[in-house]
Amino acid sequence: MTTQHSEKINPALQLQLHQELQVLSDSTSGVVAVVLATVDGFSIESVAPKTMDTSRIAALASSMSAIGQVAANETQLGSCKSVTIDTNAGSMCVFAMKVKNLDLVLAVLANSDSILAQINYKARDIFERLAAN
Amino acid sequence: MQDYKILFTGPPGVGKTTAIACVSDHEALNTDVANYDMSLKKSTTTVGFDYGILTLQPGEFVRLFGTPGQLRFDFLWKILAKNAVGIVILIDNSRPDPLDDLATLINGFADELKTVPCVIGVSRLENNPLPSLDSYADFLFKYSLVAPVLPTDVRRVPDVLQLIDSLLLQIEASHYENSHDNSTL
Repeated sequence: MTTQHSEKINPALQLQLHQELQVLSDSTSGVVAVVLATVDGFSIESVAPKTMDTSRIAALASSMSAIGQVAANETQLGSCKSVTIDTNAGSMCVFAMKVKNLDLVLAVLANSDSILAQINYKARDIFERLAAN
Repeated sequence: MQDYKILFTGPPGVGKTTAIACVSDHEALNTDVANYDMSLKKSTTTVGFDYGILTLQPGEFVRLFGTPGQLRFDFLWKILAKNAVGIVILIDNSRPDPLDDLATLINGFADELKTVPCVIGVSRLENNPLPSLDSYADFLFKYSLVAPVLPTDVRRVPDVLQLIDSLLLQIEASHYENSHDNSTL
């Protein structure tokens, strides 16, 4: 569990966030790590191997999402919902989301066993549950 | 057509986004998002890059890129510095340890600063006169760097243009020196 930002998240929500990330990780093929971060790049919650630097992933996800939004603005494509990096070894998907007035980004790292559509579907599932809070 | 790429860097809150927006011909691009770090007294912060363009004369322009200030985004520093012909380092004299901020940036761009000229713009000097501009020059000397150190208000177009001019002069001088060296071989 990681909390480096100044924004306070109540313990009940923190627990729910952790459970949601765990479900996403366990129920989605090929997922290696899931990191939830503030939009300015502070890790809030993660499910990841101990060796992984989740604060680094949080900062990367923040930059990716912001650059996605600039690209969307410049091309009149509206609001950026996600950015995907698809590689020969897997993928990194970053989703923009809002939870209780907090602007957040969710990063999902997956290996080549993953299916992008499934990651997208499961991530959207989380947003809907958290938005219902 | 000739264009130069200049990079603006500095600690968070120093005014990199403001400086680029201030002199850009068109509305500058920025990747500012909500800031949740309460140690920074501002509502938004850059997490990707800033981009603006400044026309010097027809067919000659400067592309201005800005980095995020926080060290956690240092993975972007190298990417954004690629092919830059000069680096503007902005330092906020009201921060707790401006010389330490400068040291972080000198170390972060150590490879680039071996070959690329830089200029230091020091802001908020009026109410925070120390460290003095001379102290900055002495500090740079410890790193074997020689660079102009200028008082700067990033909201003022002439101040930002002065930083860019200072870099372009260094670049021009370096080109002249190189061509002179070659002609005497």
